[in-house]
Amino acid sequence: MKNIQQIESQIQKIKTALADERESVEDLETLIGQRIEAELWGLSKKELEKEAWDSFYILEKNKDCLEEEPIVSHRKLSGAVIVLYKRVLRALLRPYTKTILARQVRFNRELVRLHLANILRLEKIEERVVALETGTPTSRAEQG
Amino acid sequence: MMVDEPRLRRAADKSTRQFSRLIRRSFEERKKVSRDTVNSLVLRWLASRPAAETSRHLPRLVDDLARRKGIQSAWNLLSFLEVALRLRRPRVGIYDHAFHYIGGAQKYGSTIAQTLQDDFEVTLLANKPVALADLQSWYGLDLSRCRLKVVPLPFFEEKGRHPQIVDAGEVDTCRDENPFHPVSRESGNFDIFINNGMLEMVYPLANTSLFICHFPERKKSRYFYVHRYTQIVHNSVYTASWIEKRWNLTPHKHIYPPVDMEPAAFPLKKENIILSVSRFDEGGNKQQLDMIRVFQDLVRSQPREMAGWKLVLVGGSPRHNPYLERIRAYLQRSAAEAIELKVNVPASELKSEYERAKIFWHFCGLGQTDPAKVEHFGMTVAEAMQNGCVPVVFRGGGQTEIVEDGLSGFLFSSEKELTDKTLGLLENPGRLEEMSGRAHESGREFRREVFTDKVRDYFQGLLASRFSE
Repeated sequence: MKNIQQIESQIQKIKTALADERESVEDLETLIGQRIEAELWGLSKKELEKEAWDSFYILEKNKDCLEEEPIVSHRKLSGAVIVLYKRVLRALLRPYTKTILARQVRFNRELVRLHLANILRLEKIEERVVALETGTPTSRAEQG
Repeated sequence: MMVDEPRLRRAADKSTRQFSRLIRRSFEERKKVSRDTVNSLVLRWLASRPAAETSRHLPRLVDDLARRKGIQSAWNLLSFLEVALRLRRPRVGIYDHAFHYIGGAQKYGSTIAQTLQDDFEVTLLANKPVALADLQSWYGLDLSRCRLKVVPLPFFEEKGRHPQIVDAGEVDTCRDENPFHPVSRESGNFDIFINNGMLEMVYPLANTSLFICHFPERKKSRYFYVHRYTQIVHNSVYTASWIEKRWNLTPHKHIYPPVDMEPAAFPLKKENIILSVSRFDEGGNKQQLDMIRVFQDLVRSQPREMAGWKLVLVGGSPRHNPYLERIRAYLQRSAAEAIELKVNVPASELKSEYERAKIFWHFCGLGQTDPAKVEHFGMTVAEAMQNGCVPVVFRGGGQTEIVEDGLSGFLFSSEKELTDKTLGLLENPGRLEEMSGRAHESGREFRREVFTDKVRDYFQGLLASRFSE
């Protein structure tokens, strides 16, 4: 390979710059740039409940896709121009995207509601199963 | 959506501008592009294009990778390039949460360290203080070119927990944060990370990661990451079958543990001794007490054949061991002269017992329903065989892989079968001697040299396949 020393010194330079940043990141998920997801198959009932609620909160938090993320650029000189360009473009397209995204937001809200209803319904059914297994009487109102 | 790999390869060969644009777009569009693919494509691009071009684009590419796929991905790419371009030796980290204890699994990991230390930069990662000198003396190894680093886990340092034990079973996966994340972070400092402690809660960050499984002790949990490892190495076919059953994963590489109890010369001068070597487990899992009862029954029912024979029980034990106390009390009550108990004996004495004994008994697994309590491999069985002791051992676990029933020893499923087969040997000294020779030959298949050869080949293969285009 050509100019191996040049490549070596460049790798070292980048690594040195990256090392501090890497050290400063405490959270493992931030370090790997993604959520560490558990495999659902084989989990216990308690763990599945915890996973279901965790996922539900993420859905709940992100259901409104009309919320705009800030436009930023990591580039030093051309960054400001790029940010300005993107802002203008976003403003121009907003009336059109809003129409589509508003439908999406309605859909997301209903979906989150449906999930919550199902989780709660499942909990009620579980309670009833436990009551039936242990022979504790349940009222008609509770069953309904 | 998968990334168009052939197109990226063509771009890597022909145009830096196009390659740089395509690969960065693949990060941005969140296409499915694996870490290995990115690594090998960038290496190909570096090899194909002039340095003036690549040096201009590499920092931007790394920066984009860090922002889109996390800093660790960028770090891994640079580490991969260093190794693939032979700028430095690959770094190997071998983690075991129980390195501070003497054990078969820890011997396995330490022997890997010794094997690799000349070709790799090897660091042993422990959670509790331990010295390299300890590991060297416990297992008779030379680890002079290795390093050792202790990664403390705050969760296990909390007041009220056992000061010496790191037990993943104490973690409430619904309530506690994963306490092994400090080890996961540390794994990212290596090119090859080896998890030798079977701790499925460690998330591997290295470019190549190996999970060495001596037995899948725990079921899957929220913090189960074994499927994230590049490969799974297993110590026996028995373990492999349970990895599939319990975790639904297929292990990749089978390497039996190293067994080094070979005598200086063979055949040996043998005595009428039935030997048992195993830890005096506090829960009585190794069943020495049952062994004593069976031996006494044999002496009572077959006094002529059993005349002059003795049972020697050797094993390690903690200072306060209720099971050992029960054995001692039983022996006192029954005035058993032909039974010797040897606890925590030095290695030289253990060796001498192996050399003198004609027959080796091992009950572990008999009557057990829990697969974890059956011998996963059976190190002491292989040690006995290297010394020409004819093994008569429980038919289960890894022992069925070591002993060929009727050729190099005997397997049994019940106490009746054990006594019949043992008596058969006592009544036929010619057969005993013949089997002793075969046991010695079979035992040699597990010696340390065989292990180190396999480990060396395996890691050279990994290096060639994982750190190149």
